[in-house]
Amino acid sequence: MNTFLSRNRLIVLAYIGMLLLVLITAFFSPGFLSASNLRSTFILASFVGIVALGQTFVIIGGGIDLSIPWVLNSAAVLMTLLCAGQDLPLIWVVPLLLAGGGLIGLLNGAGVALLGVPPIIMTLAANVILQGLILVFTGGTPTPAAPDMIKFLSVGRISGIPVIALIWTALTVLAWLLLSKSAFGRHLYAVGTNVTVARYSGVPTTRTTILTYVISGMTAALGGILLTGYSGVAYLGMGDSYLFTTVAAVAIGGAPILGGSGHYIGTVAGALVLTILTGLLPALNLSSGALLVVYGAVILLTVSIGSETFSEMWASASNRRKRIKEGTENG
Amino acid sequence: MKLKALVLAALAATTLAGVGSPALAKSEPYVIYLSNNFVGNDWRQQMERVAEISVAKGPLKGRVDLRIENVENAVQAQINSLNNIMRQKPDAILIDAASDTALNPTIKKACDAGIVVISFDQVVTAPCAYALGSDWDMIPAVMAEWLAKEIDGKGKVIVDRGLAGAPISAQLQGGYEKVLANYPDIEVVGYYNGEYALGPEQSGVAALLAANPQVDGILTQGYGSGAIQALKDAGRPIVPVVGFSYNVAALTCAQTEGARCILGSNPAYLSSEAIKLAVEILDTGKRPEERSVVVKGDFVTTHPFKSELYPSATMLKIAVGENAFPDQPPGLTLPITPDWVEITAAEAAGSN
Repeated sequence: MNTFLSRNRLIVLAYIGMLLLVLITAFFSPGFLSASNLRSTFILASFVGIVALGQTFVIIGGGIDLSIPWVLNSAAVLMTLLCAGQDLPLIWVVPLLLAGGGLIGLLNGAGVALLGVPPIIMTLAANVILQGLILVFTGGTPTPAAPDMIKFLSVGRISGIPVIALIWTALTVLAWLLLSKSAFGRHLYAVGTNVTVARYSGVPTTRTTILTYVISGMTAALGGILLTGYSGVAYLGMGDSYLFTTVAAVAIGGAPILGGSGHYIGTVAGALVLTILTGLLPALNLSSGALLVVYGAVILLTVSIGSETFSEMWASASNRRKRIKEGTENG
Repeated sequence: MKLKALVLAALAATTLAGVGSPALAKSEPYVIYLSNNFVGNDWRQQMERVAEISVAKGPLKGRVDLRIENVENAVQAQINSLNNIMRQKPDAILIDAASDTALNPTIKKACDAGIVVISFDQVVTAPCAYALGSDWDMIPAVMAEWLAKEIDGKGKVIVDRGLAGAPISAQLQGGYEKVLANYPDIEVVGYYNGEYALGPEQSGVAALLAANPQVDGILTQGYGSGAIQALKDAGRPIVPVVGFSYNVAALTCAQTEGARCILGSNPAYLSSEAIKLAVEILDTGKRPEERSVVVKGDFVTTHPFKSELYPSATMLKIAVGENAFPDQPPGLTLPITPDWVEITAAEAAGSN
């Protein structure tokens, strides 16, 4: 137990932070703990969590995926266009779009792992190109409403439990298996820690890196498809807020941005923290500007409390206190 | 047909002389350029489509050679584009502008070259150019007045602040609050940033509903349908909602049991009105005295009322098939057509 705590200290901290935030929010917002509001909070957190799944893999592998907004947006727009409000086409549209997301990821990963393009440049370029392609492809025709099946998946319930929460749980189990129980997971941590060492140790570094981007492309596409069910409509720009939130969710969950450690279990807490926070802030009645400042500051604070530097400072401070104490006792 | 777009009284004379009498018109079609600084949303796309349709039929058929030039949301790009357009020596240029001031020197050059310049939607301050747009003082005032009447002048309301830092957001919020301040028993209990998108509207309203056990009205700057969805999700009564007239909003209001809505309009056919104004000026040589020209789109509402603040405000009652279209895209802006040409919903959506 002790080793579990020390190994996953940052993840535990993220969950403690989440519980604190729940208490604070429940204090300022009396209806926060009502069943309907908890449900809607959970639904919103699921979108962040699902999209951040791929981002977690990419960041653990030492990269970053900035193409998420328009992979998400493209999947959403194409889904509504191809389905035209009907459920039946989903049978081929959803696999097609997930494969499309995976393909964008494959290109991102190949650019990074094979051609040595920095991840920031590679994925940012992919993001801009996709944005342009979607504008050209749609010719700006407003898209039809989301099919009912998608609405059911994202806001529907099965005996009181949101369907999307079940999807998210299944994906969380899958991510845990991949990270903690598979060879791919071990390879991923090795690549994120030191890609050269990993390569000399026989880790298939190129394949591992590419796979992380493929996963990210697929979860972004899935997120886009599901998010369309939430508002009933796909609209241009709907993915933009998911760039910052996915990176922040991963960081709050305790994964260092340079890779090598962290876990999706932490990202789950990060997604919940960010969503609860967006529920708390309007209840505080701050001005528009102050809202953004507080939002950014809370994230910064949460991430830095968990950071290695901060805990080293904390450790050395307590050591110094101990020494001073011993000093006075001796002297 | 009801009068749909009331151009200012100053225009009345030129209207009669212009479109009504093709005998006066010259035989060659006028070359009119439309310079648009942004194509990334549904409104701008619809605006361009209705511009093209309104010169392909009705009184302007064959009268205008319309050429649309898009630039991607950068002032410098639009200045370059305008310079290129000027070299073509068009009769008129219509501009949806990237900046209200930065284009002014370029626009002045165009005016000096004898080109009629009309800015619309996002207008410019150059004195020689006309500024054609919606009445952003009237729209929020009438809607806040409607909401106050619907809740009998008392209760707790929440207000959408739009997009942080956007001038139009502050104007709409200010417009709402100025009118609400006349009702001492109405209290604004919360604000959210709707960002003119359905997702943020729905989650913002949901958060405020959780924080406030009593909410009697919601003033959005966006769709309103996101707010209604949040009310439904929270199992709360469907209170009166203020929003803007997109198809999805009108449909949600029409199809939700007990919904009360008013939807203000910034019609996408501002472009058609700008074309018509340009043709009138070119036909008659007479220019409107006021440089700012107001286009009044009808309010679309479940419960029409007579505004005391703006008695000239016109209301359309929401009716499925007439101004809410189940078979058309949710992002379609209403009302769809000006009164002097018949544009169908399918044409405006580009879906036929």
